[in-house]
Amino acid sequence: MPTNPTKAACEPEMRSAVPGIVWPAIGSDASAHLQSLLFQLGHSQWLPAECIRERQLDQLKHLLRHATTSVPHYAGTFRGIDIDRLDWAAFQSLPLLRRKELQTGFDALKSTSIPASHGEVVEGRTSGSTGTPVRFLQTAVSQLFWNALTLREHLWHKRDFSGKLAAIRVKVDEGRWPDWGAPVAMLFNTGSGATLNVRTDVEKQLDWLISENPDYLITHASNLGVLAELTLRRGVQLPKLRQARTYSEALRPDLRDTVRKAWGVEVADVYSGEEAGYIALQCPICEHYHVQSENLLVEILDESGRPCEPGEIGRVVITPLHNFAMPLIRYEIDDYAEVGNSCPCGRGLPVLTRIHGRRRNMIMLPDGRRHWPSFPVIRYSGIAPICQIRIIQRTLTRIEAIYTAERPLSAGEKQGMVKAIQEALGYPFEVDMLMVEDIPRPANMKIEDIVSDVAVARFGG
Amino acid sequence: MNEPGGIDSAGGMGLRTAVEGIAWPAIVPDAGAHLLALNLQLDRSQWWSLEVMQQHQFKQLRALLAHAVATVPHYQRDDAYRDWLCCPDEDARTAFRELPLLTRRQAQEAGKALYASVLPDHHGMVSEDETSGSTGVPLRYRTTSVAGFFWNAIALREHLWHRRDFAARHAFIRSRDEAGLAPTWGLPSNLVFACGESANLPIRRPLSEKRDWLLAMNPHYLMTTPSTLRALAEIAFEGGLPLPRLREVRTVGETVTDSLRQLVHKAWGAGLVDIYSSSECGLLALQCPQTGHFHAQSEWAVVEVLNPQGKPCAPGDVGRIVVSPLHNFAMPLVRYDTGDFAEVGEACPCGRGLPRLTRILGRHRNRLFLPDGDTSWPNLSSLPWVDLAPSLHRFQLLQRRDHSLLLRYEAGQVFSPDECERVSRALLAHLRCTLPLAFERVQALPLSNAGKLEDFITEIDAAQGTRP
Repeated sequence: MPTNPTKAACEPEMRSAVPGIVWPAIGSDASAHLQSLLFQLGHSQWLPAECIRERQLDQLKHLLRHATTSVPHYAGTFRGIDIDRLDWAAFQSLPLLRRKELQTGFDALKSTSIPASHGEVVEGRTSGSTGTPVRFLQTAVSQLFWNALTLREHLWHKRDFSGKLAAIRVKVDEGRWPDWGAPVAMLFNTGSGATLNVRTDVEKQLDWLISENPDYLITHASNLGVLAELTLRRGVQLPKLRQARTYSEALRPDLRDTVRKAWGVEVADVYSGEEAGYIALQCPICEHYHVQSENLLVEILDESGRPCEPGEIGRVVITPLHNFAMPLIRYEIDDYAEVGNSCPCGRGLPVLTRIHGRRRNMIMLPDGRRHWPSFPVIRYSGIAPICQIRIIQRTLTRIEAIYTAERPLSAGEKQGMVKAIQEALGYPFEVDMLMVEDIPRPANMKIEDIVSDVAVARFGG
Repeated sequence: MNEPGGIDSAGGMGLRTAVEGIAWPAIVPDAGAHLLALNLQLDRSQWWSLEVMQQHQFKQLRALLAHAVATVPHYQRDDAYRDWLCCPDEDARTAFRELPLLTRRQAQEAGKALYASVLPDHHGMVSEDETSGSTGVPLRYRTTSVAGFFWNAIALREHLWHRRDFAARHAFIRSRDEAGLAPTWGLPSNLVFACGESANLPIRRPLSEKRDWLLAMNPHYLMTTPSTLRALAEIAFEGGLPLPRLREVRTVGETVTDSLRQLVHKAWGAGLVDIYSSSECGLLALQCPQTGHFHAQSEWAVVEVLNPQGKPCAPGDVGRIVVSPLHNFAMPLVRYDTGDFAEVGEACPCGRGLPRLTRILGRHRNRLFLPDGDTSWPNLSSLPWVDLAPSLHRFQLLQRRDHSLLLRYEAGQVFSPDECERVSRALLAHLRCTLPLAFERVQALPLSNAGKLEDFITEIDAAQGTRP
């Protein structure tokens, strides 16, 4: 039972741009456009699934018309398609766009005629976890939808904007801010914010959190796990914390329990990609995810390209619906997710029960099975004085476990670790334990506890 | 099953888009975005409890009154308003009820003393107009662009509550001068939606022209005054005005009776949705989409219903409607007595926290006063006039200051003695009185500037008429 249950949020106080008009508020033009989108999203989320699909198809046709007339890649590959008569079967027969094609075909995927009303075009880069950069273009319209869905996520989880928000992430410096920043502060009066770079030593991160004493914490999922585990070891508290929000990496199921034990709060996760925007948000009442269908099409496909059924795990293929600078149509992003049944919350937005992670984090077993195991501290903290560990599947039958430790392990401790790893991975792999001085974090700060060279070799990524 | 209408009008793809290729969700033009932005707030606030709503109302009221005591002579003259600004939040509600009422006559006499000498930035243009209602005594008033914006937002809310299909054709028979077809429904719908056509006809056109015009237009929606609607519905009831596409009739400007709702349903199979508003005070109450009663538009105005002692009425009681629109900084009206009466309702089963008014009964001048002090709001249109006086076109019953009654009427000929006898008997039985009744045939009954005809008017003022 959480000791700091999320309090029912007060009604958020909107900023007004007109003197003397306090309530209801009249915001700025930018604020009005965000609210206008939120108004539509507030209704569309409750539409039946088939109505949402119908609207998606209409918007998709607009995107395809633009793509086939102004993007060289699609002008070629989609030649001859009757867009006006396009149905879902025809759409699903269109070829997938792979990450490698985006990496090598930047110019061919750019629109030669971006409508001026879509606003400023911005180039972005994501290295993902491979270190190979992906360049992409987005517009002010893409940013508008990003902001609207950021707000939707806050409103779904009824955050109290008068509280203090702490964010530990990449691309920020340590700092204190008068508000929560865009987009929340564009619409609402908020409490203060504080930021810290995720590269900061984790002990210092925890000291900083104790000092800042926030109501809400946003950080990478893996970083949250490390902080929670450290909190338990140190026996400290974050007394005001009401909820943790994660992003950027697949959320280990055990992480939620660790966070509850450490701080007595729940985790709200988002599934997003820099090239795609928000893909799915955690449901306000369940721990699974709702695809953000107003923003993009999401297909979960098996290896033969067939749409997965509820309970099945498949490849995530996305089509953002509003990016006219660089349309990504049936773009395979190397993630795997599990399709869920319709949600008891009543929303018509499709459900993903779990985001399993990247292909490269998928352990492949000799019998053909595949899964995304986790290896949390709790599995080994009583076995050996391991500080950090990274598990790499080198072959179908061999695992290399790279670790740092307080001291060299005894034979018994190594044996215990091998057994724990085999249990976690679900197969009696041959396990080589290799102690190192340090396991550096990658440039994007996404910690990967488990990586499979076998999956990468077979599928790429 | 998701029924079309409201935000899902035209399959949800009927919103105007200002950005090429972005159809859903739509990025609407700036003015439309502001309307939807306000409706986002209204969507949430409509479900608030009364206490939460009042807290927010009083926050805005403080801003309005701070402006009023600084810039409006009428509010500068009385320290009560300044004193209210100084009272703590927990006493604000009680202290508010002690502030003086502002009657229409006082507002007329105050004149420019109710105008703000200066406006804050961004409240937009000030416009001036006058309204006489049906009394013929004008009240000049001022509003701002911001007040007009709130009017449009509440009007949009009304459309969304009743899930109107914006792609449909809407006919309007009202007081405007121009006639003809327009490509959209006009404000506010056309700022947000890609609307269907609207058809407009001035209300002063003869009934026969209205009938022929409606037959030609064959609209999905019709908006007009209740008295005009009754005349048209009576033709339709006799088979002379089939409107096969008509889904709903909308009314404004006069009291709607149950008999009119029933007649409209019998005539066309359509529902009737009414709006309670006034030119100087804005849109004050909208009909509940679920129950058909009214919800005060608390985000726009503090709406009180007061008994003769000036205390809030309990559910089931009838009292005076006193309003304080919260956003018109050009001419703040604080505790303005509209002259209308309403019956207070219990909490609405729809779940909205907006105060419920089960009936809007009409103005003081539409109230019958009996010598023993009893009063009522006569529903004269429910009488079987066709049987009582077949040559009757229209009527208006006037109560004189000595309580006697005068029935003025337009008819093909003077009533015969039998007709006078029948009408007299039926009328007095309906009114439950034995007052003297005279008859006067006229060429044309006087309509207000807004084209309204009230079928009952009293010349007795409130102080004379009510029970001691």
